Amino acid sequence: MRENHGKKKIIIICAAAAVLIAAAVFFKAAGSSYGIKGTMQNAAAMVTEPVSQAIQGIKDGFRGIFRFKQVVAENESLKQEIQQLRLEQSELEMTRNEKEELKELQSVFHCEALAERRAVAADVTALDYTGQQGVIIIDKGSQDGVEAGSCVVSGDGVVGRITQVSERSAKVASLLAEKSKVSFQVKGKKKKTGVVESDGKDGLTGYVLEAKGTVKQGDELVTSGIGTYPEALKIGEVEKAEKKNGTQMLTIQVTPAVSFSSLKKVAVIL
Amino acid sequence: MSMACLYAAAFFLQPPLTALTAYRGIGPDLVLCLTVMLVVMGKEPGPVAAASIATALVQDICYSLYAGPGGAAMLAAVACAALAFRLCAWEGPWLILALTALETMVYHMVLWAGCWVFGAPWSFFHMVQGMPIWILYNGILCAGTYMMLTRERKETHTK
Repeated sequence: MRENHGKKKIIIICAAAAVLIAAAVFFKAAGSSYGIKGTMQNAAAMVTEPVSQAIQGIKDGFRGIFRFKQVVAENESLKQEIQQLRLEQSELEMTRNEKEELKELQSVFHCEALAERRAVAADVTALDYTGQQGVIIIDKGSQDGVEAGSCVVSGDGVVGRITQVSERSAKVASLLAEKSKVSFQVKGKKKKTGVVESDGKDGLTGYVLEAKGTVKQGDELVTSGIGTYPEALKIGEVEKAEKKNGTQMLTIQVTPAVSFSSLKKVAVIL
Repeated sequence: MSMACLYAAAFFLQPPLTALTAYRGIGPDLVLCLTVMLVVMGKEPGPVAAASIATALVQDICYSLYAGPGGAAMLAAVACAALAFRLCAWEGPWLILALTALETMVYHMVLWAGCWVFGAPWSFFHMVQGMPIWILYNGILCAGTYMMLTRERKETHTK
């Protein structure tokens, strides 16, 4: 009797492990999510969005008791305005000559610099509660024109990129969530370029490409336009810059500009 | 049926709860706490394991980059809880806290390992740094739930 009970438990554990492995293999594919996976994501999004909005409404209501609802509403509209103004400001900083240079570089680096930026605003409906994945769920999906690989920004800078899309929602992998590298340039010093990636904690680490590059603490890093992200989007600020012993390579530690755990509104660049 | 409803409620309440209470991106894990409480209440570990693993898997599909590590972590947590409950008499809020701490550590270590295998960049030290906050959140949730349940039991018993 006991042996049968023990065998039953072993069978259950093996079956559970087999189901998990099958699920991991079946659902591992990145990119657009259709079929069962997309349906599940859509179903979760349909319930999560109103619940999140309800909780947010309750939270705003309590906050309004002390800070007056009108002030909160004005604050939200000002935040949206600031986000739009910052995007316009980064475009205005590029002069016509710089745009012409970029167009020439486009054929050399095969980068798809955007001539016109169209952005879709999105609300964050869920954050990664495990603190180990850096995933953000937004309430815009393929029906809004969002595609896998699209860049996501907030008013403070680059958030990350879209990894999976369903009809009504999308998953965003933050800059800290993946091992993929991001090409940067120092703001105001276009020739000082380099590459950063997640440091496995809450920051970014990378190196400057030129051996004689002088990047110092406090320098602001923006995207260079090479790769996934369009140019002139803020990445973060240099926290530390030092040369490795025996090499000419300048390695840097960067504090991201965006606070990923407190995001509420983002924009997807289409 | 009621267990399925509880896990469904935990699944849908997790994102807004995280938004409300998270500190540095770390929040309480409702599914894990529910699993611990069901094991402590003496429920058969088989159905609890099935429900918790299924919920964790759906969470992975809907809210995570990788499908699978959450389910594997939950399997490890349930196995650990069932074994601990069989070996020791887990009564009292302090022992519940200890069990919750153990479960949280097992869950997050397996989750980290699974994500690392899939290519996540997070370091082991980063995961360990967040452990006290996870244990604190889950401990408060489990101990509070246990105290509510024992109070209800005592009231029913005295009646």
